[in-house]
Amino acid sequence: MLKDISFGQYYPADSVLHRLDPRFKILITFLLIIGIFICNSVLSLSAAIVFVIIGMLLSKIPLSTYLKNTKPLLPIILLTFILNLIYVPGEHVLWHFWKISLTTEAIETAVFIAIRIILLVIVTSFLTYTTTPTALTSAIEDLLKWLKVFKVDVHSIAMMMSIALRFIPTLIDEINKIINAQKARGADFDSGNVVQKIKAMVPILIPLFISSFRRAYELANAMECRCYNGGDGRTKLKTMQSSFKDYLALAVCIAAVVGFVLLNSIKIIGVY
Amino acid sequence: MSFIECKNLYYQYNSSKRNAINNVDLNIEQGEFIAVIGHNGSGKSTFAKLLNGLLQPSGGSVLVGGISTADEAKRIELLQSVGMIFQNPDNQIVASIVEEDVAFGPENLGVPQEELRSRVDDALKTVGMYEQRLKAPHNLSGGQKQRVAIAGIIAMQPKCIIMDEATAMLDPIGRKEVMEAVRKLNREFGITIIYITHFMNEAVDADRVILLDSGEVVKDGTPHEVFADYDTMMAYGLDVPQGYQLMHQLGIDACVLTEKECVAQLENLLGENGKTRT
Repeated sequence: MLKDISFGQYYPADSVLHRLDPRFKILITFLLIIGIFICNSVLSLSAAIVFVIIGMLLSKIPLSTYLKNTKPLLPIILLTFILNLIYVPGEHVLWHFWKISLTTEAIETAVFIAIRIILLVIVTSFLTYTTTPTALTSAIEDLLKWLKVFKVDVHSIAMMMSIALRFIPTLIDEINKIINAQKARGADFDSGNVVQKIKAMVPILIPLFISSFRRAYELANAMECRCYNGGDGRTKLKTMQSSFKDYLALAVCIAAVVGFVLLNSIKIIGVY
Repeated sequence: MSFIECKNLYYQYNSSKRNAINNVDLNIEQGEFIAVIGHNGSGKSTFAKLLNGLLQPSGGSVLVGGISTADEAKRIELLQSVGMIFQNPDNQIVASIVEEDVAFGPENLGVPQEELRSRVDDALKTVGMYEQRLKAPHNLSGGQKQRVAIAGIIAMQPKCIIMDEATAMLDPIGRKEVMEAVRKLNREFGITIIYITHFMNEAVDADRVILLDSGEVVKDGTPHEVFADYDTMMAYGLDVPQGYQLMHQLGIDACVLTEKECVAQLENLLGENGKTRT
Protein backbone atom coordinates (compact mmCIF):
# COMPACT_ATOMS: atom_id res chain seq x y z
CA MET A 1 0.00 0.00 0.00
CA LEU A 2 2.86 2.37 0.78
CA LYS A 3 4.44 1.77 -2.62
CA ASP A 4 1.47 3.40 -4.33
CA ILE A 5 2.15 6.87 -3.03
CA SER A 6 5.86 6.45 -3.53
CA PHE A 7 6.30 7.36 -7.11
CA GLY A 8 4.27 10.46 -7.14
CA GLN A 9 1.84 10.22 -9.95
CA TYR A 10 3.88 9.58 -13.04
CA TYR A 11 2.07 7.36 -15.54
CA PRO A 12 4.52 6.06 -18.17
CA ALA A 13 3.16 6.35 -21.71
CA ASP A 14 4.31 7.82 -24.99
CA SER A 15 2.06 10.73 -25.80
CA VAL A 16 2.31 14.30 -27.05
CA LEU A 17 1.81 15.55 -23.50
CA HIS A 18 4.59 13.29 -22.18
CA ARG A 19 7.02 14.67 -24.74
CA LEU A 20 6.39 18.37 -24.03
CA ASP A 21 9.08 20.36 -22.29
CA PRO A 22 8.32 20.17 -18.54
CA ARG A 23 8.92 23.91 -18.13
CA PHE A 24 6.20 24.64 -20.65
CA LYS A 25 3.93 22.12 -18.97
CA ILE A 26 4.25 23.95 -15.66
CA LEU A 27 3.48 27.30 -17.32
CA ILE A 28 0.55 25.81 -19.23
CA THR A 29 -0.86 24.28 -16.05
CA PHE A 30 -0.85 27.66 -14.32
CA LEU A 31 -2.41 29.27 -17.36
CA LEU A 32 -5.21 26.71 -17.54
CA ILE A 33 -5.92 26.97 -13.81
CA ILE A 34 -6.47 30.71 -14.30
CA GLY A 35 -8.48 30.02 -17.45
CA ILE A 36 -10.84 27.65 -15.66
CA PHE A 37 -11.42 30.14 -12.83
CA ILE A 38 -12.30 32.81 -15.37
CA CYS A 39 -15.04 30.71 -16.99
CA ASN A 40 -18.40 32.05 -15.85
CA SER A 41 -20.82 31.31 -18.63
CA VAL A 42 -22.33 28.05 -19.81
CA LEU A 43 -20.64 28.39 -23.17
CA SER A 44 -17.14 29.09 -21.83
CA LEU A 45 -17.37 26.32 -19.27
CA SER A 46 -18.52 23.83 -21.91
CA ALA A 47 -15.59 24.96 -24.05
CA ALA A 48 -13.27 24.32 -21.10
CA ILE A 49 -14.78 20.86 -20.61
CA VAL A 50 -14.23 20.03 -24.28
CA PHE A 51 -10.66 21.36 -24.06
CA VAL A 52 -9.87 19.21 -21.02
CA ILE A 53 -11.42 16.12 -22.64
CA ILE A 54 -9.21 16.64 -25.70
CA GLY A 55 -6.25 16.86 -23.33
CA MET A 56 -7.28 13.61 -21.65
CA LEU A 57 -7.48 11.87 -25.01
CA LEU A 58 -4.07 13.22 -26.06
CA SER A 59 -2.43 12.02 -22.84
CA LYS A 60 -3.11 8.33 -23.64
CA ILE A 61 -3.87 7.76 -19.97
CA PRO A 62 -6.97 5.64 -19.20
CA LEU A 63 -10.03 7.39 -17.80
CA SER A 64 -9.96 5.15 -14.72
CA THR A 65 -6.59 6.67 -13.70
CA TYR A 66 -8.09 10.16 -13.81
CA LEU A 67 -11.12 9.01 -11.83
CA LYS A 68 -8.84 7.45 -9.20
CA ASN A 69 -7.20 10.84 -8.76
CA THR A 70 -10.51 12.68 -8.46
CA LYS A 71 -12.09 10.24 -6.01
CA PRO A 72 -10.30 11.41 -2.83
CA LEU A 73 -11.59 14.93 -3.57
CA LEU A 74 -15.20 13.82 -3.79
CA PRO A 75 -16.06 14.77 -0.18
CA ILE A 76 -14.68 18.28 -0.75
CA ILE A 77 -16.60 18.64 -4.01
CA LEU A 78 -19.82 17.45 -2.32
CA LEU A 79 -19.31 19.76 0.65
CA THR A 80 -18.79 22.85 -1.50
CA PHE A 81 -21.75 21.78 -3.61
CA ILE A 82 -24.07 21.57 -0.57
CA LEU A 83 -22.74 24.76 1.03
CA ASN A 84 -23.29 26.65 -2.21
CA LEU A 85 -26.81 25.25 -2.49
CA ILE A 86 -27.65 26.53 0.97
CA TYR A 87 -25.84 29.82 1.17
CA VAL A 88 -25.95 31.38 -2.30
CA PRO A 89 -28.76 33.96 -2.24
CA GLY A 90 -31.26 34.07 -5.11
CA GLU A 91 -34.65 35.36 -6.14
CA HIS A 92 -36.22 32.33 -7.81
CA VAL A 93 -37.11 30.21 -4.80
CA LEU A 94 -37.94 26.65 -5.78
CA TRP A 95 -38.40 25.14 -2.37
CA HIS A 96 -38.44 26.53 1.13
CA PHE A 97 -38.00 24.86 4.48
CA TRP A 98 -37.41 26.62 7.83
CA LYS A 99 -34.45 28.95 7.17
CA ILE A 100 -33.22 27.06 4.13
CA SER A 101 -34.36 27.97 0.68
CA LEU A 102 -33.32 26.42 -2.60
CA THR A 103 -32.99 28.85 -5.47
CA THR A 104 -32.16 28.37 -9.15
CA GLU A 105 -29.20 30.71 -8.77
CA ALA A 106 -27.80 28.55 -5.97
CA ILE A 107 -28.15 25.40 -8.05
CA GLU A 108 -26.40 27.06 -10.98
CA THR A 109 -23.50 28.30 -8.82
CA ALA A 110 -23.13 24.95 -7.08
CA VAL A 111 -22.98 23.01 -10.36
CA PHE A 112 -20.52 25.50 -11.81
CA ILE A 113 -18.12 25.31 -8.89
CA ALA A 114 -18.26 21.51 -8.75
CA ILE A 115 -17.40 21.30 -12.45
CA ARG A 116 -14.58 23.80 -12.01
CA ILE A 117 -13.01 21.83 -9.19
CA ILE A 118 -13.14 18.61 -11.21
CA LEU A 119 -11.56 20.36 -14.19
CA LEU A 120 -8.80 21.79 -11.98
CA VAL A 121 -7.96 18.37 -10.61
CA ILE A 122 -7.72 16.92 -14.10
CA VAL A 123 -5.61 19.79 -15.43
CA THR A 124 -3.09 19.49 -12.60
CA SER A 125 -2.94 15.74 -13.08
CA PHE A 126 -1.93 16.36 -16.72
CA LEU A 127 1.27 17.76 -15.28
CA THR A 128 1.92 15.12 -12.63
CA TYR A 129 0.88 12.15 -14.75
CA THR A 130 2.98 13.02 -17.77
CA THR A 131 6.15 14.32 -16.11
CA THR A 132 8.69 12.30 -14.11
CA PRO A 133 9.58 13.75 -10.69
CA THR A 134 13.15 14.27 -11.90
CA ALA A 135 12.04 16.25 -14.93
CA LEU A 136 9.69 18.24 -12.72
CA THR A 137 12.50 19.17 -10.32
CA SER A 138 14.88 20.28 -13.04
CA ALA A 139 12.07 22.27 -14.67
CA ILE A 140 11.37 24.02 -11.36
CA GLU A 141 15.10 24.71 -10.97
CA ASP A 142 15.18 26.23 -14.42
CA LEU A 143 12.02 28.30 -14.02
CA LEU A 144 13.21 29.71 -10.69
CA LYS A 145 16.69 30.63 -11.97
CA TRP A 146 15.87 34.31 -11.70
CA LEU A 147 15.60 33.95 -7.91
CA LYS A 148 19.41 33.74 -7.84
CA VAL A 149 19.34 37.53 -8.11
CA PHE A 150 17.89 37.51 -4.59
CA LYS A 151 20.63 35.12 -3.37
CA VAL A 152 18.29 32.13 -3.27
CA ASP A 153 20.30 28.95 -3.81
CA VAL A 154 17.96 27.42 -6.38
CA HIS A 155 20.37 24.61 -7.29
CA SER A 156 20.61 23.33 -3.71
CA ILE A 157 16.85 23.40 -3.28
CA ALA A 158 16.38 21.42 -6.50
CA MET A 159 19.12 18.97 -5.48
CA MET A 160 17.41 18.42 -2.12
CA MET A 161 14.08 17.83 -3.83
CA SER A 162 15.52 15.28 -6.24
CA ILE A 163 17.42 13.45 -3.50
CA ALA A 164 14.24 13.36 -1.40
CA LEU A 165 12.38 11.82 -4.34
CA ARG A 166 15.20 9.36 -4.96
CA PHE A 167 15.09 8.13 -1.35
CA ILE A 168 11.33 7.70 -0.99
CA PRO A 169 11.32 4.07 -2.19
CA THR A 170 14.45 3.29 -0.16
CA LEU A 171 12.90 4.70 3.01
CA ILE A 172 9.63 2.89 2.39
CA ASP A 173 11.53 -0.40 2.27
CA GLU A 174 13.21 0.63 5.48
CA ILE A 175 9.89 1.44 7.18
CA ASN A 176 8.53 -1.97 6.22
CA LYS A 177 11.63 -3.63 7.66
CA ILE A 178 11.31 -1.69 10.91
CA ILE A 179 7.59 -2.48 11.19
CA ASN A 180 8.33 -6.18 10.75
CA ALA A 181 11.20 -6.04 13.21
CA GLN A 182 9.02 -4.35 15.84
CA LYS A 183 6.16 -6.75 15.19
CA ALA A 184 8.58 -9.63 15.71
CA ARG A 185 9.28 -8.16 19.14
CA GLY A 186 5.59 -8.08 19.92
CA ALA A 187 4.70 -4.47 19.01
CA ASP A 188 1.00 -3.97 18.30
CA PHE A 189 0.11 -1.39 15.66
CA ASP A 190 -3.44 -2.32 14.88
CA SER A 191 -5.48 -2.22 18.08
CA GLY A 192 -6.40 0.55 20.49
CA ASN A 193 -7.82 4.02 19.99
CA VAL A 194 -6.33 6.81 17.91
CA VAL A 195 -3.99 8.04 20.65
CA GLN A 196 -2.66 4.54 21.26
CA LYS A 197 -2.15 4.01 17.55
CA ILE A 198 -0.18 7.24 17.22
CA LYS A 199 1.93 6.27 20.23
CA ALA A 200 2.62 2.93 18.58
CA MET A 201 4.28 4.83 15.72
CA VAL A 202 7.10 6.10 17.95
CA PRO A 203 9.12 2.86 17.83
CA ILE A 204 8.94 3.05 14.03
CA LEU A 205 9.84 6.71 13.67
CA ILE A 206 12.85 6.80 15.98
CA PRO A 207 14.84 4.04 14.22
CA LEU A 208 13.80 5.58 10.91
CA PHE A 209 15.18 8.98 11.95
CA ILE A 210 18.44 7.52 13.17
CA SER A 211 18.99 5.48 10.03
CA SER A 212 18.06 8.44 7.83
CA PHE A 213 20.76 10.54 9.45
CA ARG A 214 23.27 7.75 8.93
CA ARG A 215 22.21 7.49 5.29
CA ALA A 216 22.51 11.25 4.89
CA TYR A 217 26.05 11.17 6.28
CA GLU A 218 27.09 8.36 3.96
CA LEU A 219 25.43 10.00 0.97
CA ALA A 220 27.22 13.27 1.72
CA ASN A 221 30.53 11.37 1.76
CA ALA A 222 29.69 9.63 -1.50
CA MET A 223 28.70 12.92 -3.13
CA GLU A 224 31.91 14.54 -1.99
CA CYS A 225 33.88 11.62 -3.44
CA ARG A 226 32.19 12.33 -6.73
CA CYS A 227 33.42 15.91 -6.66
CA TYR A 228 30.09 17.53 -5.81
CA ASN A 229 30.78 21.16 -5.12
CA GLY A 230 27.46 22.94 -5.47
CA GLY A 231 25.83 24.13 -8.65
CA ASP A 232 28.62 26.30 -10.04
CA GLY A 233 30.37 24.98 -13.12
CA ARG A 234 28.14 21.94 -13.37
CA THR A 235 27.11 20.59 -16.74
CA LYS A 236 24.08 18.42 -17.35
CA LEU A 237 23.61 15.12 -19.14
CA LYS A 238 20.19 16.16 -20.34
CA THR A 239 19.35 19.76 -20.93
CA MET A 240 15.76 20.70 -21.46
CA GLN A 241 15.18 21.82 -24.98
CA SER A 242 12.09 23.67 -26.04
CA SER A 243 11.05 23.13 -29.61
CA PHE A 244 8.35 24.33 -31.95
CA LYS A 245 5.75 21.95 -30.48
CA ASP A 246 6.19 23.46 -27.00
CA TYR A 247 5.54 26.99 -28.27
CA LEU A 248 2.62 25.66 -30.29
CA ALA A 249 1.10 24.01 -27.20
CA LEU A 250 1.52 27.22 -25.23
CA ALA A 251 -0.07 29.23 -28.07
CA VAL A 252 -3.02 26.84 -28.24
CA CYS A 253 -3.59 27.16 -24.49
CA ILE A 254 -3.36 30.96 -24.59
CA ALA A 255 -5.85 30.95 -27.45
CA ALA A 256 -8.15 28.68 -25.43
CA VAL A 257 -8.05 30.99 -22.40
CA VAL A 258 -8.74 34.01 -24.62
CA GLY A 259 -11.62 32.01 -26.11
CA PHE A 260 -13.03 31.36 -22.63
CA VAL A 261 -12.91 35.09 -21.87
CA LEU A 262 -14.75 35.92 -25.11
CA LEU A 263 -17.36 33.22 -24.52
CA ASN A 264 -17.95 34.61 -21.02
CA SER A 265 -19.80 37.58 -22.48
CA ILE A 266 -22.44 35.36 -24.12
CA LYS A 267 -24.96 34.36 -21.48
CA ILE A 268 -27.50 31.63 -22.14
CA ILE A 269 -29.04 30.89 -18.75
CA GLY A 270 -29.59 33.85 -16.42
CA VAL A 271 -26.26 35.34 -15.36
CA TYR A 272 -24.45 32.35 -16.83
CA MET B 1 57.97 8.28 -7.26
CA SER B 2 55.12 5.94 -6.40
CA PHE B 3 51.52 6.71 -7.22
CA ILE B 4 50.42 6.79 -3.58
CA GLU B 5 52.94 7.48 -0.82
CA CYS B 6 52.02 7.31 2.86
CA LYS B 7 54.70 8.64 5.19
CA ASN B 8 54.56 8.07 8.98
CA LEU B 9 50.81 8.20 8.74
CA TYR B 10 48.86 8.62 11.99
CA TYR B 11 45.20 9.11 12.59
CA GLN B 12 43.27 9.50 15.81
CA TYR B 13 39.51 9.90 16.13
CA ASN B 14 38.42 12.67 18.50
CA SER B 15 36.47 10.27 20.65
CA SER B 16 39.32 7.79 21.09
CA LYS B 17 42.69 7.75 22.83
CA ARG B 18 44.12 5.06 20.62
CA ASN B 19 45.50 5.78 17.17
CA ALA B 20 43.20 4.32 14.51
CA ILE B 21 46.14 4.41 12.12
CA ASN B 22 49.56 4.03 13.63
CA ASN B 23 52.75 4.92 11.80
CA VAL B 24 51.92 3.54 8.38
CA ASP B 25 54.63 3.80 5.73
CA LEU B 26 53.45 2.52 2.40
CA ASN B 27 53.96 2.96 -1.32
CA ILE B 28 51.42 1.94 -3.91
CA GLU B 29 52.32 1.79 -7.58
CA GLN B 30 50.06 2.72 -10.48
CA GLY B 31 48.17 -0.32 -11.80
CA GLU B 32 48.49 -2.50 -8.69
CA PHE B 33 45.61 -4.60 -7.39
CA ILE B 34 45.83 -4.47 -3.64
CA ALA B 35 43.65 -6.18 -1.07
CA VAL B 36 43.57 -4.66 2.41
CA ILE B 37 42.49 -7.11 5.09
CA GLY B 38 42.14 -7.03 8.84
CA HIS B 39 39.47 -7.81 11.42
CA ASN B 40 36.77 -5.29 12.40
CA GLY B 41 38.24 -2.15 13.90
CA SER B 42 41.71 -2.78 12.51
CA GLY B 43 41.67 0.58 10.73
CA LYS B 44 40.88 -0.58 7.18
CA SER B 45 38.14 1.97 6.49
CA THR B 46 40.02 4.77 8.21
CA PHE B 47 43.01 3.99 6.02
CA ALA B 48 40.80 4.15 2.91
CA LYS B 49 39.35 7.52 3.90
CA LEU B 50 42.84 8.93 4.49
CA LEU B 51 43.89 8.01 0.97
CA ASN B 52 41.42 10.35 -0.74
CA GLY B 53 41.34 13.09 1.84
CA LEU B 54 37.91 12.36 3.33
CA LEU B 55 39.89 12.26 6.57
CA GLN B 56 42.96 14.40 7.16
CA PRO B 57 45.92 12.68 8.84
CA SER B 58 46.67 13.60 12.46
CA GLY B 59 50.33 13.11 11.62
CA GLY B 60 52.41 12.28 8.59
CA SER B 61 51.23 12.74 5.02
CA VAL B 62 49.59 11.08 2.06
CA LEU B 63 50.69 11.98 -1.45
CA VAL B 64 48.59 10.85 -4.39
CA GLY B 65 50.27 11.38 -7.74
CA GLY B 66 52.37 14.05 -6.05
CA ILE B 67 49.36 15.89 -4.58
CA SER B 68 49.08 16.04 -0.81
CA THR B 69 45.60 15.11 0.47
CA ALA B 70 45.83 18.17 2.71
CA ASP B 71 46.07 20.48 -0.30
CA GLU B 72 42.69 22.25 -0.34
CA ALA B 73 43.31 23.90 -3.71
CA LYS B 74 43.75 20.57 -5.48
CA ARG B 75 40.94 18.80 -3.66
CA ILE B 76 38.71 18.26 -6.72
CA GLU B 77 41.67 16.98 -8.74
CA LEU B 78 42.45 14.52 -5.95
CA LEU B 79 38.88 13.28 -5.59
CA GLN B 80 38.64 12.88 -9.34
CA SER B 81 41.73 10.69 -9.53
CA VAL B 82 40.89 8.56 -6.47
CA GLY B 83 37.32 7.26 -6.67
CA MET B 84 35.69 5.50 -3.79
CA ILE B 85 32.94 2.88 -3.56
CA PHE B 86 31.19 2.42 -0.23
CA GLN B 87 29.60 -0.52 1.48
CA ASN B 88 25.91 0.31 1.16
CA PRO B 89 24.94 0.65 -2.50
CA ASP B 90 21.70 2.49 -1.61
CA ASN B 91 23.50 5.33 0.12
CA GLN B 92 25.75 6.32 -2.76
CA ILE B 93 23.28 6.52 -5.61
CA VAL B 94 22.16 10.11 -6.03
CA ALA B 95 19.77 10.20 -8.98
CA SER B 96 16.57 8.27 -9.63
CA ILE B 97 17.66 7.03 -13.06
CA VAL B 98 20.75 4.85 -13.58
CA GLU B 99 22.33 6.90 -16.38
CA GLU B 100 21.74 10.19 -14.58
CA ASP B 101 23.47 8.78 -11.54
CA VAL B 102 26.48 7.72 -13.58
CA ALA B 103 26.58 11.24 -15.05
CA PHE B 104 26.64 12.85 -11.58
CA GLY B 105 30.43 12.76 -11.14
CA PRO B 106 31.42 14.10 -14.57
CA GLU B 107 28.60 16.68 -14.36
CA ASN B 108 30.25 18.02 -11.21
CA LEU B 109 33.56 18.17 -13.04
CA GLY B 110 31.94 20.29 -15.75
CA VAL B 111 32.53 17.82 -18.59
CA PRO B 112 30.93 19.17 -21.80
CA GLN B 113 27.61 17.60 -22.75
CA GLU B 114 28.68 15.60 -25.83
CA GLU B 115 31.61 14.04 -23.99
CA LEU B 116 29.36 13.42 -20.98
CA ARG B 117 27.06 11.23 -23.06
CA SER B 118 29.91 9.07 -24.39
CA ARG B 119 31.56 8.80 -20.96
CA VAL B 120 28.31 7.62 -19.37
CA ASP B 121 27.63 5.08 -22.12
CA ASP B 122 31.20 3.74 -22.04
CA ALA B 123 31.19 3.45 -18.26
CA LEU B 124 27.88 1.58 -18.27
CA LYS B 125 29.10 -0.78 -21.00
CA THR B 126 32.32 -1.48 -19.09
CA VAL B 127 30.41 -2.74 -16.05
CA GLY B 128 27.74 -4.43 -18.19
CA MET B 129 24.85 -2.22 -17.07
CA TYR B 130 24.13 -0.46 -20.37
CA GLU B 131 20.84 -2.31 -20.89
CA GLN B 132 19.56 -1.09 -17.54
CA ARG B 133 20.51 2.55 -18.10
CA LEU B 134 16.95 3.88 -17.94
CA LYS B 135 15.84 1.89 -14.89
CA ALA B 136 15.28 3.24 -11.40
CA PRO B 137 18.07 2.19 -9.00
CA HIS B 138 15.69 0.72 -6.42
CA ASN B 139 14.58 -1.87 -8.98
CA LEU B 140 18.13 -3.27 -9.32
CA SER B 141 19.80 -6.05 -7.35
CA GLY B 142 22.58 -5.25 -4.88
CA GLY B 143 25.30 -6.35 -7.28
CA GLN B 144 23.80 -4.27 -10.07
CA LYS B 145 23.55 -1.19 -7.84
CA GLN B 146 27.17 -1.57 -6.84
CA ARG B 147 28.16 -1.87 -10.54
CA VAL B 148 26.22 1.35 -11.23
CA ALA B 149 28.21 2.98 -8.43
CA ILE B 150 31.44 1.74 -10.04
CA ALA B 151 30.29 3.10 -13.41
CA GLY B 152 29.66 6.45 -11.69
CA ILE B 153 33.28 6.46 -10.55
CA ILE B 154 34.86 5.34 -13.85
CA ALA B 155 32.92 8.03 -15.70
CA MET B 156 35.17 10.48 -13.83
CA GLN B 157 38.20 8.67 -15.36
CA PRO B 158 40.07 8.05 -12.12
CA LYS B 159 43.55 6.56 -11.78
CA CYS B 160 42.61 4.60 -8.69
CA ILE B 161 39.45 3.13 -7.17
CA ILE B 162 39.12 2.33 -3.48
CA MET B 163 36.50 -0.30 -2.67
CA ASP B 164 35.59 0.13 1.00
CA GLU B 165 34.05 -3.27 1.79
CA ALA B 166 31.96 -2.74 -1.30
CA THR B 167 30.88 -6.38 -1.45
CA ALA B 168 30.04 -6.84 2.24
CA MET B 169 26.30 -6.37 1.75
CA LEU B 170 26.02 -8.45 -1.42
CA ASP B 171 25.08 -12.06 -2.06
CA PRO B 172 27.68 -14.41 -3.63
CA ILE B 173 26.44 -13.69 -7.17
CA GLY B 174 26.61 -9.93 -6.59
CA ARG B 175 30.09 -10.29 -5.11
CA LYS B 176 31.26 -12.19 -8.17
CA GLU B 177 29.77 -9.58 -10.56
CA VAL B 178 31.50 -6.73 -8.74
CA MET B 179 34.82 -8.58 -8.46
CA GLU B 180 34.80 -9.33 -12.19
CA ALA B 181 34.02 -5.70 -13.07
CA VAL B 182 36.85 -4.46 -10.86
CA ARG B 183 39.36 -6.94 -12.21
CA LYS B 184 38.48 -5.90 -15.75
CA LEU B 185 39.16 -2.26 -14.85
CA ASN B 186 42.51 -3.20 -13.41
CA ARG B 187 43.59 -5.36 -16.36
CA GLU B 188 42.23 -3.38 -19.28
CA PHE B 189 42.56 0.21 -18.09
CA GLY B 190 45.42 -0.14 -15.63
CA ILE B 191 43.38 1.45 -12.85
CA THR B 192 44.90 0.93 -9.41
CA ILE B 193 42.48 -1.00 -7.20
CA ILE B 194 42.58 -0.86 -3.41
CA TYR B 195 40.15 -3.54 -2.34
CA ILE B 196 39.20 -3.51 1.31
CA THR B 197 37.50 -6.73 2.26
CA HIS B 198 37.00 -9.30 4.92
CA PHE B 199 36.34 -12.06 2.41
CA MET B 200 39.65 -13.91 2.18
CA ASN B 201 38.58 -15.61 -1.05
CA GLU B 202 38.56 -12.17 -2.68
CA ALA B 203 41.86 -11.12 -1.12
CA VAL B 204 43.77 -14.08 -2.57
CA ASP B 205 43.05 -12.83 -6.09
CA ALA B 206 44.95 -9.59 -5.53
CA ASP B 207 48.53 -8.93 -6.62
CA ARG B 208 49.43 -7.74 -3.18
CA VAL B 209 47.82 -8.12 0.24
CA ILE B 210 48.21 -5.68 3.09
CA LEU B 211 47.24 -6.94 6.54
CA LEU B 212 46.29 -4.27 9.06
CA ASP B 213 46.00 -4.81 12.80
CA SER B 214 45.37 -2.04 15.34
CA GLY B 215 46.14 0.51 12.66
CA GLU B 216 49.54 -0.94 11.79
CA VAL B 217 50.68 -2.74 8.69
CA VAL B 218 51.71 -6.15 10.03
CA LYS B 219 52.12 -7.95 6.72
CA ASP B 220 52.57 -6.73 3.19
CA GLY B 221 53.30 -8.97 0.23
CA THR B 222 51.89 -11.41 -2.29
CA PRO B 223 48.91 -13.48 -1.11
CA HIS B 224 51.20 -16.49 -0.57
CA GLU B 225 53.63 -14.49 1.54
CA VAL B 226 50.91 -12.99 3.70
CA PHE B 227 48.90 -16.17 4.17
CA ALA B 228 51.98 -18.38 4.58
CA ASP B 229 51.59 -19.00 8.28
CA TYR B 230 48.20 -20.41 9.30
CA ASP B 231 48.57 -19.67 13.00
CA THR B 232 49.52 -16.02 12.46
CA MET B 233 46.35 -15.49 10.41
CA MET B 234 44.29 -16.99 13.21
CA ALA B 235 46.07 -14.83 15.75
CA TYR B 236 44.99 -11.69 13.85
CA GLY B 237 41.40 -12.89 13.97
CA LEU B 238 41.14 -13.67 10.28
CA ASP B 239 39.71 -16.48 8.23
CA VAL B 240 41.66 -18.34 5.62
CA PRO B 241 40.29 -19.64 2.31
CA GLN B 242 38.42 -22.93 2.62
CA GLY B 243 41.04 -25.01 0.80
CA TYR B 244 43.71 -23.76 3.19
CA GLN B 245 41.49 -24.62 6.15
CA LEU B 246 41.01 -28.13 4.75
CA MET B 247 44.75 -28.68 4.36
CA HIS B 248 45.35 -27.47 7.88
CA GLN B 249 42.77 -29.87 9.28
CA LEU B 250 44.29 -32.70 7.28
CA GLY B 251 47.52 -31.84 9.05
CA ILE B 252 49.32 -30.72 5.92
CA ASP B 253 51.44 -27.62 6.06
CA ALA B 254 50.71 -26.12 2.66
CA CYS B 255 49.59 -22.60 1.83
CA VAL B 256 46.73 -23.38 -0.52
CA LEU B 257 44.80 -20.30 -1.59
CA THR B 258 42.73 -21.04 -4.67
CA GLU B 259 40.48 -23.96 -5.54
CA LYS B 260 42.88 -24.95 -8.30
CA GLU B 261 45.83 -25.17 -5.92
CA CYS B 262 43.68 -27.14 -3.53
CA VAL B 263 42.74 -29.69 -6.17
CA ALA B 264 46.37 -30.05 -7.26
CA GLN B 265 47.48 -30.55 -3.68
CA LEU B 266 44.78 -33.18 -3.07
CA GLU B 267 45.63 -35.06 -6.27
CA ASN B 268 49.25 -35.05 -5.27
CA LEU B 269 48.33 -36.40 -1.86
CA LEU B 270 46.04 -39.16 -3.13
CA GLY B 271 48.65 -40.12 -5.72
CA GLU B 272 51.29 -40.63 -3.04
CA ASN B 273 48.90 -42.66 -0.92
CA GLY B 274 48.05 -44.77 -3.92
CA LYS B 275 51.76 -45.47 -4.45
CA THR B 276 52.34 -46.55 -0.87
CA ARG B 277 49.40 -48.97 -1.08
CA THR B 278 50.59 -50.89 -4.09
